[in-house]
Amino acid sequence: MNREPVQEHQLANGLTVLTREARLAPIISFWVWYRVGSRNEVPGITGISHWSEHMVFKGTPRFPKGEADRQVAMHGGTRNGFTWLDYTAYYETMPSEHAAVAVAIEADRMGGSLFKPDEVASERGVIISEREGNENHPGFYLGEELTAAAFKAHPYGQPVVGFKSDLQAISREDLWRHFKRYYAPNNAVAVAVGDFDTGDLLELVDREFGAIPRGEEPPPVRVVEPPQEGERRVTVRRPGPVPQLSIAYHVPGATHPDTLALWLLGSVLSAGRSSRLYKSLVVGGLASNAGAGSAMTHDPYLFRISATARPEVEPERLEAAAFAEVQRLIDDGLPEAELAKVRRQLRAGHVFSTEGVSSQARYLGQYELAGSWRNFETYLDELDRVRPEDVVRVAAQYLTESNRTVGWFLPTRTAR
Amino acid sequence: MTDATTDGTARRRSRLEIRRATLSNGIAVLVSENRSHPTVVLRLSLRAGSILDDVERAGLATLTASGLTRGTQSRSFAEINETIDSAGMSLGASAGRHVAGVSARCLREDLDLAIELVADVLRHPVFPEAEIEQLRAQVLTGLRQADDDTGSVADRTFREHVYAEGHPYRLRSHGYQQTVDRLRASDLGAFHADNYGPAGAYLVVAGDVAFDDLIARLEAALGDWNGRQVRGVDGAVPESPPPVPGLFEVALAGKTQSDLVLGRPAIRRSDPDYHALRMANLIFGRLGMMGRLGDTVREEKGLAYSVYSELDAGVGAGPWAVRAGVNPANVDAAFRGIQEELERLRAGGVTAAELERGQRYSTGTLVLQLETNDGVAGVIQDIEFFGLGLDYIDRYPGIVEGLTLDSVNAAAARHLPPYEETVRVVAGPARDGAAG
Repeated sequence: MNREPVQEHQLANGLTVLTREARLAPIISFWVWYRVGSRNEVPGITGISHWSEHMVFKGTPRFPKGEADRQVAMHGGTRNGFTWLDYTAYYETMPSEHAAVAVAIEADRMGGSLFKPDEVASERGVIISEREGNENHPGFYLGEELTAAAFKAHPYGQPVVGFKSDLQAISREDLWRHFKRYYAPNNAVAVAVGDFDTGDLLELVDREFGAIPRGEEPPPVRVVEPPQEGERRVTVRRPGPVPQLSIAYHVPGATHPDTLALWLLGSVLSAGRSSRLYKSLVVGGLASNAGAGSAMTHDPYLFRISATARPEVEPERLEAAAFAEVQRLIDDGLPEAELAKVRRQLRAGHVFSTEGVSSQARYLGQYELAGSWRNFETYLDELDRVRPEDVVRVAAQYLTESNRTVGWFLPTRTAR
Repeated sequence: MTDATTDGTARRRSRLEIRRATLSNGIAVLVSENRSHPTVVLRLSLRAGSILDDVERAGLATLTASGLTRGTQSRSFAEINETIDSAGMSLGASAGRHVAGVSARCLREDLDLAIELVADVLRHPVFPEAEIEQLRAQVLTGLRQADDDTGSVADRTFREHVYAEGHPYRLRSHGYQQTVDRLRASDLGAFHADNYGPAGAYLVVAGDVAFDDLIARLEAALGDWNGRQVRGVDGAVPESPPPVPGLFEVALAGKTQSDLVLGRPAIRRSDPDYHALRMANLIFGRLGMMGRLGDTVREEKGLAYSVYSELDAGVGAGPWAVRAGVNPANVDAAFRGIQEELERLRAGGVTAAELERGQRYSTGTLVLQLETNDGVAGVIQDIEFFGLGLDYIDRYPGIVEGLTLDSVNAAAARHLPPYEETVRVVAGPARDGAAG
């Protein structure tokens, strides 16, 4: 793949702009990433970043409610927004001749969102409905309990969607304060990938975003999760169909040198049907599926091993088999050929996932928010540098008993 | 942001070059070359979908498709997995209602291997006892989870009230715990022998390939395949008698939210009103933030995170349905909101401004659908399955722009049911004194 290089620019107001020209199709994908997510929340206002994400779809003086949706649809585009631990992101993917529509809407969202009281009131119902939809899935409860148990200090332990009592209590003033504090150009990264001329695009971005004033620097997140000093266990007992297991180990944030070894470890354990956990847990008749891996986060987060038990299997047997696979890797090492296979899987996955401009822009933003977009550019080279002994070492170092939280969802009755 | 010229540009650029060939056993091959990225997608489809299932063995077509990759005459399940993962490719097999298929995605340099594996699992599966037992257990666990999922239960219940017994759209493609429980490896072998063959099969390839070279490779791998097919391949779907309307509730323990479905069978894809009704549905429950439904039920009333409508026009008349997830206390209010919008649409139709927006959205987003090889392959599969013609993408903007307010509103009034004639399903926490 010969890709055009990424160019990094900065407006006078502090907005970072990443651009990559890609003439794969006559399309542009334009994103704005804000450095705010559940990581920036404190008890009492959990879910406020996600709720704010909903509120900035509700109109401005320039694009009254519904008008931005209409404009994007009229010009053959799609758009959405989402919130996670470290970020809140918005995008439009459009035919490239309509790039101006996307840039105007995103700048206007940052500078002109209104947070009208009646909109806050009706959106409370929508937000609670979103949470309640999640509550219908047994895995949601398990995930919420597991992260809460794994973190005693860091806000990563709180759910992104927020606790229901907070969603019932958060006020318009809370939301407005949150918006004003974090939705500033100096706290955002714009990413554009597609069929455009960089000079023209920058001119457009500067015209639309340039007048938005720089904001005060948002307060830093200072809290550091203390080391875990022994195994923690949580159990969720609710009506449900089958037992589910999830084991979480603390691992470093994305810029740590062990990150790629940990990603390879996740793939050794669970990528494809030739992976270790698939063979031992699924082919072994204990589980209907199995997964393992870590996410890309700014601060230290979790490496997870998860499995859905077959109904007739004793949970203890499944848990023991999962631990045994980890131990086997630590005791017996990783053959070079197996690492080569996994590296090839990740390499091919990278090629597939950069086929479209939308996914390229998404990756650049995710990497930038977790550390630097440059790590996306060097990913394949760095992958080649990881040795089998590195993968075994990170397994031995992080996947330990005292560093883990073991979570079970156990049905209180047998489903039909 | 002006219109006439830019729309013309978008149309020119969203052209899709499709080349077609036929292998010596009749398999149609449709190819879209894209040299800008070193990847290839292959999707082979044949008429072995779940409409062939009978009530007693629902899920057989799906399980057979999933079983294809569990071992062949020359490769064990483990060998297939090792081969796929070592190349970083994906190989999948699955069945839908009408079509079963095998698909692969690979890097350009692994194309030969991908073709070889697709041909091998299609032609020479052995459905080994142990591997099929394990697959069946996995599927049974999944079905148990589906029977505890409010969305799946609502959909299953809706189909059971909308389609008469014996109708092929009534059954769940994945089957049911009690039917899959009965299936054995030998059933899969027999289903494969009876239904997998070149008649009616077609293969779509999108990506970094050279047409002539590709056809020669496919001919070598598949051209001499002459599987017998004892069952018909026409896939005809009869009309179902009109459903009995009303409200049907299923209570599930441990749930917070209720999933609603409201609808009725609508039209076939071949119906002359298809494009007009699709446009009406787009405006009603999809466009922007879920169309008119989103504007009122979500935005104005704040009742639901998710509310939308869908039109599933297939070989037979698939359902038109509204789906929403709401708090049990808001079920009645949500139904009322949907009712108001449905009555407003049937009585007053859409506006000229809405139609224009829907038209520009439909033609403008074409190019987005063609962003990836997977997207291109999906579009071509539809073109071939419904016999739309290789120039369909070129004709499509004209079709959409030719829709008039009269045609769209007439289609909505004709094919969308009055609220009282709909089947309404609620799956979620038990409710007292429920009314519809």
